[in-house]
Amino acid sequence: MNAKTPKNTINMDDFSVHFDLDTDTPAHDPQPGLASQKKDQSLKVVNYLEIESKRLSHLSNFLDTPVETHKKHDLTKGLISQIDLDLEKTKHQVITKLSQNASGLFQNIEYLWEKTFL
Amino acid sequence: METNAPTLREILINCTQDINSLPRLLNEANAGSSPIILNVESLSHENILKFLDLLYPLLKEINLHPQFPYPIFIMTDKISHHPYFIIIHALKDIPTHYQFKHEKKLTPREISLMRTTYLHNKKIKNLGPFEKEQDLQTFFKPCKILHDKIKELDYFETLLKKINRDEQT
Repeated sequence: MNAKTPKNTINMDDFSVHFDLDTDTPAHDPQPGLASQKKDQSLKVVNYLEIESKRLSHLSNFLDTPVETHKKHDLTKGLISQIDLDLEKTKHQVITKLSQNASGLFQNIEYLWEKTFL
Repeated sequence: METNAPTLREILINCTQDINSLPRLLNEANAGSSPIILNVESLSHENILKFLDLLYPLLKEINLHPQFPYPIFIMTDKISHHPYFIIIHALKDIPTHYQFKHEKKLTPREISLMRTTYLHNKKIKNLGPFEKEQDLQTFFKPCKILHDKIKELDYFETLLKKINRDEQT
């Protein structure tokens, strides 16, 4: 992060407020390799702007649609119920398999115990 | 219209009591049209909470929502959650989508996309993000539940596959 000399300093009676505003450059170079990949840079900006354009379009459409319409077309409830069913089924299968394995393991331990100590 | 891509901007805040000048600084940083980091790392825990308590009504006054269209991230490691703001501890916590560097002049295609995003952004601001916040929260909640359940299902399905594979070998 760039720690530059504050461009805006506001002195209050008891406190001072300093804002260092970096408006000219992005805050950081988050992916070290990215800056050097000059060839890919314009492509990445296009991708970013395309995603932003779609994201904002969806958001504005969502906000512009009455709540009742959303409720009418909301699929999440149905999907959650479906996932719940799948989850229950999968959990049951996992528990059955694990208990079968555990049962086999206990039988082996029992056999070894008998062989060793009895 | 902004001529640069909406990239991450940062405002460093060293000590604060009166934040009356913040709207101007946010405006200069293109807040609302770019993601912003308010870096409050140098403030004490108590001052951060005071600052955030003052910040929310101030943003509401200038119709600048802290989460959309573009988020205002609060960077600090002294608090972990806040009801209104997205708290980040380090730059790596910011979605990678916002993490890119752009220095070159925009191409005609990019300028065209910028125009589109600008219009959508303007529409969102006019729709009143603060008034719509409750609706968004209402619809976000089931989406989050769905996301969590899908993650859980994925975990158990992977586990089951692993058990089956181990049995075969």
